[in-house]
Amino acid sequence: MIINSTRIGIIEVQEQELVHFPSGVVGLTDWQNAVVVPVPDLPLLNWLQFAHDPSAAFLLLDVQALYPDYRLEFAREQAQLGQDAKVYTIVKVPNGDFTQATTNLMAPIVIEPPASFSDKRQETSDPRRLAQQVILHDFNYPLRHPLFVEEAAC
Amino acid sequence: MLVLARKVGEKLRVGDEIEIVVVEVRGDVVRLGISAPRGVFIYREEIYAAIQAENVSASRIQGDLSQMKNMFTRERGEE
Repeated sequence: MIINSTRIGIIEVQEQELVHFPSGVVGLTDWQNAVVVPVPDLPLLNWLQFAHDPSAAFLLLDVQALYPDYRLEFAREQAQLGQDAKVYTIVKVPNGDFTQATTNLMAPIVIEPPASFSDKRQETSDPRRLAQQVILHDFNYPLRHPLFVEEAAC
Repeated sequence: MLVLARKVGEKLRVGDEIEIVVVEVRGDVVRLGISAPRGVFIYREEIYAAIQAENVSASRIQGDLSQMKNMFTRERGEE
């Protein structure tokens, strides 16, 4: 299928590359199918471009790479997508000012690993990778954690 | 909206699979126990609303991401 994106242009996607949120993301129930696209030269970041609307996208952070202590195992447990599932957090950039970028550590996105890692794949006819946004209630993780320390504070 | 009175220990059923029990009432705080099948997510309303709003505002991201490259590099260089 072809996914049109206002940020990264036209993307051609095989069905097994699609990421499927059965009930959407929190508060956005029709955001159900998406594709993960790496950001050039920024190995910690990926776009999550949704299929239903060219402007519907999140910037995802490989949270483990930046915050090794993040409680990945609780996110995976809540999502029930297996121990190899990938955990990302959503990055917000207020008014295009990257110095003010924050990431949502409270409600990460958990995505099933690609087909070769998953046994489930052989049992079902749906080739899409399952995904879910979960809420980590018990760790006081902030909704807006600053990604970069301000210059003035250094 | 349907409004029902229940005593502590009494339950409500929403459809066939969701059960809500009044666990405790103390002053103006009511503790509820909820059993729901996998795939039905239960949120405190204010947290749901906050995450919804954060999702919406995060999805409006604009700008040239290559600016971030220098920032990650700088951040790491300082550690």
